[in-house]
Amino acid sequence: MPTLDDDRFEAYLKQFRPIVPDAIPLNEHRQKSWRRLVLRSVGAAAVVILGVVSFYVVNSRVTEKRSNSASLEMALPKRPLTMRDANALLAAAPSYKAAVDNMAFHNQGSTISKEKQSALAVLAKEKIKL
Amino acid sequence: MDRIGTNSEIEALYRQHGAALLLFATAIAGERSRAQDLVHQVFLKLIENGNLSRAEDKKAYLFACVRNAVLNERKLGARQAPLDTDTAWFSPPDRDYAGEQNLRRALGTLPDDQKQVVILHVWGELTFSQIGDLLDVSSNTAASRYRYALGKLRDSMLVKENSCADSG
Repeated sequence: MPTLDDDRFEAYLKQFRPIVPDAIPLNEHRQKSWRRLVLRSVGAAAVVILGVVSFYVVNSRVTEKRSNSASLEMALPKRPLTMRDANALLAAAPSYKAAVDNMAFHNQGSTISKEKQSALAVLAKEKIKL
Repeated sequence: MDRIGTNSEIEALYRQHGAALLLFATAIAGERSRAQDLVHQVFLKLIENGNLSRAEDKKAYLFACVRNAVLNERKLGARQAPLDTDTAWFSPPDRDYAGEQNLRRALGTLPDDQKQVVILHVWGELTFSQIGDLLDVSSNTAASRYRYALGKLRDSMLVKENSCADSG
């Protein structure tokens, strides 16, 4: 290669043509896009199905809980615990623990009128010196 | 412009500038197959998004896209492949394969910024003003880098030719 000035050297370089690249893989890209679309649709459908199923599961559990608590409330006596009831429970229960457990599950909501009072409440307030 | 019109325009741009873009990408990425994948990615994205119509200077925009793609990939991969010396970059005139290899080797010895300016100006046919915008330098800086790089390239090619002649 002879020594060339800038312009001639540039012209010499331009004689080397850059290699032409392969064609753009459009078909492959379209297939990929199609595959991506299908995968996205399947994913979205799976999410929707999962959402519906979990909604039904949660909903059924909540309904079950509600019915359980309602039946428990139904089972509980509306009457407050009195000394007589406590004595009856102690007499009927197979053990002391079972009797206390039964007492604990009694609803002691204040459905007592103002003139009356619970025997247990009175005993609890009393200061007993031993 | 409709989608089909945009796509055919993009394909025409690929036919027109694809070779120079591939050369530019190869010179930065170091590996031709990877460079070709990146050039394809750029064009496929353009076809998919169809946002080429917004670009004022389409050719310069394409070179900028390719450069960004190579640099992003380099950042993500955190690796820079050494220049691929086996694959030809050019179709040489008069089957001058030794000259092609010599040119490729000489280009490989240039620093990245100089190599980019030479490729963009000689084979990309961008003006120094366009190159300045693309590389974020002034057009004067681009021009001086080019002159400096051209001198180094010529010397490097001459030295190699002389050493070949001496050994032969």
